[in-house]
Amino acid sequence: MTEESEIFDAEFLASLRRLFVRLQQKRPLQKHGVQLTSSQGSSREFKDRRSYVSGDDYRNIDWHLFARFERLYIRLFENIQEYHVHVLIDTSLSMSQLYPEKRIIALRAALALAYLALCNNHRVSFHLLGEQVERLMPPLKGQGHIHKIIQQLEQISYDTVGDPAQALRRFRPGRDGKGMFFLCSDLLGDDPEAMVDTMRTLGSLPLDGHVIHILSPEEMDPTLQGSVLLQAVEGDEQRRVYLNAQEIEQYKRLVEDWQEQIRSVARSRRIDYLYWPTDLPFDQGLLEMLERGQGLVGQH
Amino acid sequence: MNLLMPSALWFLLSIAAIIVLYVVRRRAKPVPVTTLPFFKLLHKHLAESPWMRRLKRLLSFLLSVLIVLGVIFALAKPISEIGEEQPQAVVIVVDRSASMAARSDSSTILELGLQKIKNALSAIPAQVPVAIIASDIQPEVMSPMSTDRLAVVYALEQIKAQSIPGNHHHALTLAKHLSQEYKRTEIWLLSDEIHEDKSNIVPFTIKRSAGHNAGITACALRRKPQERNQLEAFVELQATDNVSVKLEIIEDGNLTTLRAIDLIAGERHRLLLPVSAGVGEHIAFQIHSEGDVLASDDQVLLKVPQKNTLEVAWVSKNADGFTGLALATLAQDFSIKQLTPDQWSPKVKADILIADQWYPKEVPAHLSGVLVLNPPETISGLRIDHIKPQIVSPPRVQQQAHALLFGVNSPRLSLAQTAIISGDDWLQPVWAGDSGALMSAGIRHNQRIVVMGFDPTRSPELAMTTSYPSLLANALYWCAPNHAEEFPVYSCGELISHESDSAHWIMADDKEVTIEQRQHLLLDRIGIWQVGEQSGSSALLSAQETLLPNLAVTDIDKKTADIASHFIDWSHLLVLIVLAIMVIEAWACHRKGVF
Repeated sequence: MTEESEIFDAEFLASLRRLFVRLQQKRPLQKHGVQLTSSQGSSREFKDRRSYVSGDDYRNIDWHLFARFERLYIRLFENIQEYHVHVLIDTSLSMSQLYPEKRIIALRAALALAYLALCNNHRVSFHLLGEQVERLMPPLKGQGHIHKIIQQLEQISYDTVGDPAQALRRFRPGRDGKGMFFLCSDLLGDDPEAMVDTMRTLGSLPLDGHVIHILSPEEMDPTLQGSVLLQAVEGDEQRRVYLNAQEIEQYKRLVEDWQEQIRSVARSRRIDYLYWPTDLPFDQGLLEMLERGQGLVGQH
Repeated sequence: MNLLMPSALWFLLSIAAIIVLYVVRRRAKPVPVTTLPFFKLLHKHLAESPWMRRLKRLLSFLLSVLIVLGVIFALAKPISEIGEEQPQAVVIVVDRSASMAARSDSSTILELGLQKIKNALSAIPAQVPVAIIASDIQPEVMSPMSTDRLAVVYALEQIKAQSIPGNHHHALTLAKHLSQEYKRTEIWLLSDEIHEDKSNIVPFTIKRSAGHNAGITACALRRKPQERNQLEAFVELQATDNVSVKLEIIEDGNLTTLRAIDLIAGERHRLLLPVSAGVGEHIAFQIHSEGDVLASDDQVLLKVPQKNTLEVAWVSKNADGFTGLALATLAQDFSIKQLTPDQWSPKVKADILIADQWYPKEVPAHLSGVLVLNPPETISGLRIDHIKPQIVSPPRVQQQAHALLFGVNSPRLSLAQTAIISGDDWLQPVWAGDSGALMSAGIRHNQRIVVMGFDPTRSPELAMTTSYPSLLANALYWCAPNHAEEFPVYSCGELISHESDSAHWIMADDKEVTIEQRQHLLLDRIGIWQVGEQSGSSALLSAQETLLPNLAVTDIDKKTADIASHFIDWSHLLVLIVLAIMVIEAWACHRKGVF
């Protein structure tokens, strides 16, 4: 984290470090990573013994104690929880063209999440949402990988013309226990309704869901007026329209309704939804994301 | 199909600009957006395929060209003839005589009429040539046959009312001459009079809206027959309505006479008024009447003339003493030379011949007139029937207004008629007895002849009355109308031949103007003129102009509508079509805001 780069410059990394120190003092967040819980687990870490009752797994009977006391005891082991944090990064052109700050925010948020996860001994996986879902690198664990992650994130190319809704449907987190996913995307695709449907399917994943919806204020409230030839940044589609103030208002309502639909579906599927406008300071955005994330973490 | 305004077709060049704009229309620079699906949702119902857009663009271009074409042709005012055959040319005769200056509300009737003419002119096709003739006493071609409407309208605007009596005859003759080249020609006559010849003449008669007119229709200065040192003014007034007028006589700048006179519509009101101005002084006659619509006949400016003694040769076999006595009273004004027939010669210098009981074989051309007393039986062109003297008491006046009877008290006279006078139409009876005319007068070969068929010596009441010298004086003055005074009064419109380079005018308001005019001076204003040694007074003095006609007025607007109804004006339809195309174009190509 010492090497400077375009996105992850020294100032950003320093601020990220300061932020992490502040977060360390917050107890709920310390639950991230490898934690001993009151529940019994199946790990090899011994925790306690108790009297055998009918139905217990006879394989856990402590025969040494039986030999001494002629009573049946069973051994209890620590239940160790390890989270697998999936970070999904939208690499479609809409994230880098026209409003490149969306890409910067997505990558910085991804790095911050990975940094936090690695510091808490979670496993981290990066998935790129293009035409398909593509794993950026094998799951990583341990703080030592952060440099490698920076390098990998910087090499992501945003040249795919894909629909994140379609790609997300193909996302499979694997069978490696509990985890959570963070989706960093503008959620813009060919069909806004498809993204709403996709959001419903994300709710069925065995993961704690977090959606970071990155949009530029210009996308919410365009300054276009009059006769305009619109060109989609993804694809060659063009459309000549005449925009007046009334139609701009209709457009804003349309986008807000769509955003509200996504928010509503996410809430019903217990997915955390965070709207991150590009003019929001990164620190403030990240803190808000983590503040909201601690509720989910607290359940475990 | 004709075009009223073909010059509007120059705007067709603007089509090229539309084509250029269509061909080289700058493609809009695409604006990249990440949220195109939302804009598509916004205009979900507007989604069109590219070929449809191209088709619409082409359609929009074609409709735009159609709209411009429609507007241009609407401006060109296309018309097509219907019904009866339309004229191939129009000659507009505009009466600019004095009466056309009569005011109607705030404008003169000439101005009103010219405006109507312009309106009517705009209803005929531009290809129809139009000529303009202004008419007063003489015609003047203001614009020859031309299709240049601007020139025609300019010529119309140059026509101003003149203080000249009107006479359409020559103008209409000229108009017919101009129209000979065309098969069908209409002559539009703008006048306040109706012309009797209705053949292909379209009357545009204008009626004044209100008011009346009173004017001086005759005015002269003369010396009293028995008091030649005294001047008297003869003034004749007429009015269109029963009105009261005030007559002012201003002598050398001083108001000397003011009379209030009630005039009866259409009747002559004559006055003899004494004036005391000296030789060379100006006398202005001015009438005032409330509501008078025409000013040019309200004033006359005269100058007191030098006394002029007329040379009279009295040729008599047996000079009558009473006649001699009567003529003696006129000695101050007439130089009377008494001769016998033997002494008479055509070379005798005289202005007037008094032929008493005698008549020359040949009347010299230089004589202004002949007064025949006791006529012999043979006078060329006349029939004289001698009768036994009959007492006619009183003589019947045949022409009450005749100048011969001015100041003559006919009802108190008793005459002995000795001859019955008859002749051709040129001789009109003035007095008549039971047997026939006993005094007649007329003009033959520019010579005035008065024949008196009575014997003063036998007349019970004539010789010793003042009427007899008055009668003789009237007859002598009548016989020499242009020689009586050195300062004649002319009607406006007459031409004075002269050899001077300029003419000097003194107007009624004492303004003096000198204008360059060679050979001929047109008397077109009211005042006193002088060219070289000639001088005189010019005044309207026209009963025809003063008695403004009260016409059954042509409905010019209806006439204009009639002219227009000969044609179908497609411009309105074109405007409607253009509007319809605009609506269709907007609906088909722009209603969804997608181009």
